[in-house]
Amino acid sequence: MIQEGFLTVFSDPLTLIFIALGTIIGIIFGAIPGLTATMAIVIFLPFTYPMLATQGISTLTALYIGGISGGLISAILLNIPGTPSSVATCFDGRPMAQKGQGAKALGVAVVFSFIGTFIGIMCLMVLAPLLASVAIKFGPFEYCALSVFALSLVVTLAGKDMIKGLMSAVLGCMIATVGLAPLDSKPRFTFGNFNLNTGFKLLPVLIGIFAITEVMNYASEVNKQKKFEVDEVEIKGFGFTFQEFTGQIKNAFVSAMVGLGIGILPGIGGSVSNVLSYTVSKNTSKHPEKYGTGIIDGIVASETANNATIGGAMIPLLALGIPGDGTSAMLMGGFLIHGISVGPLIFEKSGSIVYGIFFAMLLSAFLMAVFMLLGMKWFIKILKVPKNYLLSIVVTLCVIGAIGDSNLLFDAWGVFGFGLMAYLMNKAGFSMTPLILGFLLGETVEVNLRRVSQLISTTSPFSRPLFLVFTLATISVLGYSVYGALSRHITIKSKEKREK
Amino acid sequence: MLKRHAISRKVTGALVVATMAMSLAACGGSGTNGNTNTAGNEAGNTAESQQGGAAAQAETEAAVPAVDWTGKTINFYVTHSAGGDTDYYARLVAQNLEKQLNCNVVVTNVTGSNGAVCMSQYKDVPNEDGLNFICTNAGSMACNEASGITDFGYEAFEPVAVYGKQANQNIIVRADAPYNSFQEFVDFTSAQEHAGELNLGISTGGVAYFLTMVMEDYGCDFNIIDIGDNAERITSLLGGGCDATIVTYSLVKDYIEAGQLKTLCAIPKSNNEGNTLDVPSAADVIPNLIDDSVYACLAPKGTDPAYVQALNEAIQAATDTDEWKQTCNDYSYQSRYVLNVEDTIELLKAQRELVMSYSDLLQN
Repeated sequence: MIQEGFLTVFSDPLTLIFIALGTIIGIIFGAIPGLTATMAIVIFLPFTYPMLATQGISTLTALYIGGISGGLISAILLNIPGTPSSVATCFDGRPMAQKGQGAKALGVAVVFSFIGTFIGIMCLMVLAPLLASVAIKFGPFEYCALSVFALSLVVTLAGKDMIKGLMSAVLGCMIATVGLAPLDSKPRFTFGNFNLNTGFKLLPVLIGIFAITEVMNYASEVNKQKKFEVDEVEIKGFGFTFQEFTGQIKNAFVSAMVGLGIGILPGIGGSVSNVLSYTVSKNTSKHPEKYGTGIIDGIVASETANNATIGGAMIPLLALGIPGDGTSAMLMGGFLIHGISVGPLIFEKSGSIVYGIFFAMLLSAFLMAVFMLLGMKWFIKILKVPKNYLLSIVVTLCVIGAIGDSNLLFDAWGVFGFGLMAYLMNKAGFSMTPLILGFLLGETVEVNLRRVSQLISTTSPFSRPLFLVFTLATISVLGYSVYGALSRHITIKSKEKREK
Repeated sequence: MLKRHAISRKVTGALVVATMAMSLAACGGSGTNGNTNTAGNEAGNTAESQQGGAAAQAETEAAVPAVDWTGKTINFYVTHSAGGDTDYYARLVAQNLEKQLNCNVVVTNVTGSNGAVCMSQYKDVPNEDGLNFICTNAGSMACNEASGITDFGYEAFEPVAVYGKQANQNIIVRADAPYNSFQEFVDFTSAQEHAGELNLGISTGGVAYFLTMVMEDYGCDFNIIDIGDNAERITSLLGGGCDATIVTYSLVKDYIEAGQLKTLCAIPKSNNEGNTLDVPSAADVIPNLIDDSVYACLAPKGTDPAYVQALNEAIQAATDTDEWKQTCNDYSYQSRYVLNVEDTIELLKAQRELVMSYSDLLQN
């Protein structure tokens, strides 16, 4: 079966061409802020209807892999994440690019994207049924506790000003409540505008926060421009040393596991994994204070995780017939249309096709790395384009992307609204990352909390061990942070006293 | 979370619970004959009205535009996202129409609020050239109105055609459940000692909610929990989060084959003719447990009836192929189901009335 699968991909030149094209188009969609991997799949899904099953689905997974990976380019070079999956890549990617280490940042990001994808696909190939059985154990109790736990990690993302960080996170959760309420579909904060019934979509929010802010920051400094020269960097090999690589193995492994975990759990969007992994990496690092200043650890955490999420999201999709996020829901549509029923019998019924898809994914991951490493020389030239030209094109593309998400002009206004909000909040010293995490997780918390309230009459939370584990973890994180803050406070106070 | 609800739209949008007494059987596959409500186009491919009694038609003869889409671009605005059933059927129709009319049909998904965003946006769009149409599923449209998400229904549009039926919903339980038939299931939950004991996982406000109400009305007593969309319902059922649920058969057929889940019954249509799924009907036990939902093409209000009529005929002709029939069977366990304009309006009207009668329930 495995051999047959291998042959369906590698003996058919047309499939190989589709995979290569899919990967390249995916990278382009990923790299252009405003266009996402999901969008690439949405647009090309109908084109795969007439293809053979393996061709069609391989093309879609190639778009997925390319799309998730391509986002790193604009994240590093422009400080605007190309897709929601590369938000955290900006945090250290941009400072590195500013230090003239753009090529190194790209090299690291590409290589670890490949590693992340590879680990994800390997787990998918070997452990899919096992991991899928874990995913089933997650009900409303577990999702609720897990997302509260993830939100509690905001404390560490909040930076120096914890109060502002928490305010930002709460604001994110509040923005997520706009639209039809979960469960009872009552409109909230829509002011009678039907466009708001769906709530604010992730894309306009992210584009506003990153792209518009970046443009406005540039605009405010355009007159006091220092000449920002990019040195002609010779890219040797991957751009980083072997020592640097080995130093990241543990970080990459942990990040891949975070990414994989988020991917496996249907119900937590794939866009969360990079920010969460960055947070975990920062928390477990020996030098958390260096995060955000331009170290490769941050890039490794974000890029390994978001790519590992691909394999992770495919696990419940294939083994259970349950899509983990919007992108995999599209893929599931692709499977159904090609007559492959995803679920427990997929290996028995369509084994050779599934293995074919695995090989196609591996090939696509490999091609992604090759194309991106070859392209690095050109990508880096983006920095040489005068920003007044570059950014106006970027804004145009962003707005097109935001509209294209659900073909609504209204979302363009969302982009500018959130851009203005983020710009002002930045000026006031608020960090945007907690807001994004709050926005991403707010809905999950709310939906599951309300479901728990329906279940609690028949189910005891103490009968749900995973719920207890996550709750305890949340308490520990919060307790530890409060303890840390208090002890710092006491030290400072006693120092002041002594100085007096 | 970007499009986490992509699949849920597929489900929630899907159904209408109806107890339609009307007989649609005669219209099911009746082809292109018998259109009586508008004048034909210039090519003369509309049958001359056989029953001149239709009063409405007299006026339309004066201003009949030449209906010729050759080389033009028709827009189909689909209310739900790509990958789901509403989109799939719309695209199939579009592909077939391109061949039939020798034109381009561009499909655009305008998504959000179970289709309400698209409907609100395009219901009054100017359509003098007859190039803009909306593709949706009638269940979503009726449910949105009944639940107050929109304040309009099918009457805000010029209905063009119904071109397909929704796949079957089944009541599914785990394979080791003590009941083996829908009758046993109903008896179990109706028994005093099991009152409120079974967790039934559905989504509140969706069509599954209607079905649940019909069952409760009959005497069943569930603990109703909101689980979410099809995918989440399957997860929950497998993981023990609920004891029974209502989902589309094709999504669980492998679980049934693998011996993990079993189906107790299929929720039938009021006109169940052409259904190829071999599962006992729920209506044998609870006669009102019926679900009708269809895929429909609508034109913005004010579109010239000649365009509506011409497109309807084109859709009827374009879908009259073996390939189309095969697809309906593979994808939805249904035979071809395409209606003329009159029957389309009649069906939408009947659906709306029935769903609106549950309006109070839906809004609470």
